[in-house]
Amino acid sequence: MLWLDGQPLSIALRESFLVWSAIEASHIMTLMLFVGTIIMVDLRLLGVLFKNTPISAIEKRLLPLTMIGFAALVITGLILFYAKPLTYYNNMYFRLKLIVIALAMINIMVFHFRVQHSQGSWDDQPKPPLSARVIAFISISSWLLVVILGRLIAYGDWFHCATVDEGTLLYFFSDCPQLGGH
Amino acid sequence: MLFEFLFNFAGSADFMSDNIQPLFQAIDQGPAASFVKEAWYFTPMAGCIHLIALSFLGGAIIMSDLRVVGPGVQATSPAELNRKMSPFLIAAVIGLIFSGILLGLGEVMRIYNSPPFWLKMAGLFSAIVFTFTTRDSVIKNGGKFTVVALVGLAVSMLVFWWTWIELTDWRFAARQSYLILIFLLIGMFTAPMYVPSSISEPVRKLPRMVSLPVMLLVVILLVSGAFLLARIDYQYFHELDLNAMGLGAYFHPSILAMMLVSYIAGVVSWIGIGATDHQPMGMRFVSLMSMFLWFSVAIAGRWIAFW
Repeated sequence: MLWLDGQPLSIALRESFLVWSAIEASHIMTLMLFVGTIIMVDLRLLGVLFKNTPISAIEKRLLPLTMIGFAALVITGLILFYAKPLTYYNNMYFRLKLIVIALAMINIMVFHFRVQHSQGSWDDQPKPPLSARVIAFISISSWLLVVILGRLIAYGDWFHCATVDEGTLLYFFSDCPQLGGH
Repeated sequence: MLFEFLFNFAGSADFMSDNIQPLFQAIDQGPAASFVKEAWYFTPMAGCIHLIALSFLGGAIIMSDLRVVGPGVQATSPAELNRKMSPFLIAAVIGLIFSGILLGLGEVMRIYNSPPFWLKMAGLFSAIVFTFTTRDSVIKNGGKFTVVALVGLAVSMLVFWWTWIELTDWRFAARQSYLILIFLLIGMFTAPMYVPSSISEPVRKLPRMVSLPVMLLVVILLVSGAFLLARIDYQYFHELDLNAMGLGAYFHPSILAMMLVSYIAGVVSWIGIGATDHQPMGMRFVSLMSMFLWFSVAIAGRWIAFW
């Protein structure tokens, strides 16, 4: 991380006035696309929205957009991380965000490999079965949590290494010992 | 009267310092601002609500407007989809305004002195007026512009473009050129749908075959361009003497961005002209403009942190 932080392009990126803020704004825009569309798919799976539209019709039209949004979100996120690796690596909320993203991805895999097999039998039902609704609830909750944790990264000073007691869970998550704090 | 007010509001520093600044100072010294500044949890909490509201807003706008443009959920008519998304949109806008006020109370004088804040306010006003008058009316009436739609269009466009140009001498418009880039991606993504079904299958598939590699190429160029521009931008602020650069000054990111805007606007127009989608051109125009306005509000909001 220290090596990455010292790379000329990393320094140029975080010190630039125009590009850094442009990438941050792009990250927010792609978040609107990704989270916005996945919420709508999840609301259909919960049986709240578009009750008379088959789920496959919603998925077929929206999931490509969701995937484009996710790809752009990952690209802009990687660039942001590359620009400030130490800041993010040391940030507790960033680490929690990665964990929640991993859980959300596992949730997607569970839906794809377990629940979706029987979709043909409940595709046009206004209220899908409980398993699909639970998956949708976990999905919507975890992505909103990702948004919240992403926003809290900016307020990382809440748990500044200097203010956290050694040996506590927060101390561990903030990786204070390895890098000597922020 | 309104015209004069808008002119003064957007262009006159005296008008701002005489009328608006005292109001902001009073708010800054008031009990609400003091409470927000002292309560450490308030700003992060409001920030989270703001971002969640923005996500819902994105969902509602994308669902309604992309349906009209092309790649949305076609099982529902545009008018019905727009009606279904309205409660989400209204709730998101209320959430944005409420959390935005809380965020603003924590740094009243900083946002007063921030150009992107005023751009965001102009954008927000324009987006609300445009969405709830022009867009709703045009979609409801199948592409026809009623008097309400035309008045909404005139007011929103006047406020949006005048404020943005007047406040920033085009600089901000240039810097958000990448927004236009995203519209190019939308254009490319939707281009295959514009080809009439009467054209033979291989030809019909051609735009998709072309557009997907082009989209990948654009993403690669976007990423490498970001690094290149960062390098130039960094050097510009730290090392380079533009006067000594001569022609090299044209590589300043803002100028590059302006060139990019012109190029991309041309390509998007070209895609639009060839469009034979099922929805009338008027509906597609208001939907694209609606997305543009709301995403501009989001970008301006992010820029407040930097400028």
